[in-house]
Amino acid sequence: MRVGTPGFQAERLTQARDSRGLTQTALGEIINRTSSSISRWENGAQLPETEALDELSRALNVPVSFFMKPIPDHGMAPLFFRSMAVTTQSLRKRTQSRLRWAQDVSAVLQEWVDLPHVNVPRLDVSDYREIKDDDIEHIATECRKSWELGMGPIVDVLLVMENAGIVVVKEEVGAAAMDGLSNWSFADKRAYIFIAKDKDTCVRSRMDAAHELGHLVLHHSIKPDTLKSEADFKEIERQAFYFAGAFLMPAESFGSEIWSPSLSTFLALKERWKTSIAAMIMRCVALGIISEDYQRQMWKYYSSRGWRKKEPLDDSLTPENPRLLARSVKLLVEHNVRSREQLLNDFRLNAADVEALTGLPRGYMSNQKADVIAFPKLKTSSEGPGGSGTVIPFDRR
Amino acid sequence: MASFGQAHQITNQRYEIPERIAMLAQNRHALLEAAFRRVAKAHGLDTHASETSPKGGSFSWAGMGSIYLLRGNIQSHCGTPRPTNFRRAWSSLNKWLSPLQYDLIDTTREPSRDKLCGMLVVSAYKGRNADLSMPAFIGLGIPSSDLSSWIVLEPINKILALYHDMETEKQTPREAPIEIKDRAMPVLKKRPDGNGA
Repeated sequence: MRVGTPGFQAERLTQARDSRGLTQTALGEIINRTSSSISRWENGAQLPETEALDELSRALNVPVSFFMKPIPDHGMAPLFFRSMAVTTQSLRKRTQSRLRWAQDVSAVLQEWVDLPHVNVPRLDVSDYREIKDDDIEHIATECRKSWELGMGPIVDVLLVMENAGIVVVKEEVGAAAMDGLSNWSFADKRAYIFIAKDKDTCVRSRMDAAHELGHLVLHHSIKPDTLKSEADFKEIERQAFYFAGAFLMPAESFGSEIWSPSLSTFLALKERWKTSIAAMIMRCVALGIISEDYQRQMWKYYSSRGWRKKEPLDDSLTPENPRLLARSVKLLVEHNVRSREQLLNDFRLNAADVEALTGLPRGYMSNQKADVIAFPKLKTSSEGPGGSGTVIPFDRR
Repeated sequence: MASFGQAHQITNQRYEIPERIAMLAQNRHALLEAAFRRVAKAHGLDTHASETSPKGGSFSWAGMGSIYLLRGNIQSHCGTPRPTNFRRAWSSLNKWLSPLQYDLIDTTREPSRDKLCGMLVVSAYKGRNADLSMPAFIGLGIPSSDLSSWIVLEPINKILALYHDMETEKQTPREAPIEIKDRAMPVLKKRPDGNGA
């Protein structure tokens, strides 16, 4: 009779499989098992034996000890996905798993370091339908006051969030359809934001972060059972987007700078406010600066300039990056509190995953430098393949 | 811009396909003229609708001081306006902008007049697949006195942006971005076993 591995955490297998974007069938094919075996291991009906666990570890590129790590209680707070309507189930699962791994990494680090105190104003509303646009404007201003940002453009949105104790993760997810994800973890009472790096422009990443902040601030107390239909999700997405606009472009300061709402004006303001021209149009509509009719015309002009694909300045404004998790790892390593190997054992993840989730340079955890590929050198000899031409000097007259 | 959209909508609703092109142009003209007078009046300019001679229609103009503004349609290539008698008469005010040089030495003649005729220029897209509900170009121009060229012709956005900068920089001070202190610093926990700071 086969004996399963005691201490195996079934949910960890699902998490690792989702994180790698594999179906049960695909994973089964890789390790030469049936999908029903995978299914039985994942739902806890059966425990994988030691050899199977080794195969799973190799196939999913996680240490065997990963499967023994208990799942922390992150609570019932909903996970909010930006672009929910267009993202696939598999992409959502993958991003969710990556966020959970980042929360695990953060939990390990917090055994050794104190992260900034969590200071995030929150709206205490259990039903999103009670949230009005005026409430959103008010709480966005409240955030600015609480974080002493004034009313002008915000220099670094990710720094503001990390100063407020929010852990931000920025990573490629392999699909442009996903923008971000956020969650309040019950385990450490801390807010987490995951931003997809795939379309990494400065203005987009700031808007994604502000949008996720909107969920954390507005929908902290929303009961998951109030979010059932597509219309429910559409509205909470609209609210989060409205918050992002109000937070990044306050009515009193941004509004007073819009003397004439035209694409040229928005383009001139883009470098200062570091928000997209599209976001500025939407904000002007929300503030009543431009009418619905004018908005329609504006979108036509916007499209005709090819700005739906790429706006001017997208290449020249530098994207922001998170720093808190990477700094925590470096602090422990550089003060010899924990070695890289010890940390990897604590995290129970491979080096590449830890580097990607924390934003550390590639090779930092494995202490390996990136492979240097030597450029081919030009031959110094004149006798190259096929020989070289003979130089015939001109006659001097 | 709204007049363009409105003209397109009205024409499509009221007229059969064979008459639409002709009626679209007429509707545009009527609505643009009315909008031109309405906006000019709302901003304190004197507005007039002069009858043309020989009779055939009327063209609007607006003025403040010695500056006069007409409205003109030109084709999408932004060429010169059609030299109607009405436009020719008004643009002759700009003669002083192109002074004749009588000899090689005498080049700095003072302008004899300080009147100016500007023109609000709106052009339409052409072609079968063109979007007829929106203008191809809106700009402000100063025609030469004989309407043979533009002394200046700039898109309206560019002109408004100049005023925008003036307004925001000189009259309403911009909110300066506040420097954000970097407090995203993890601190080592003090541990009883001596590990940590």
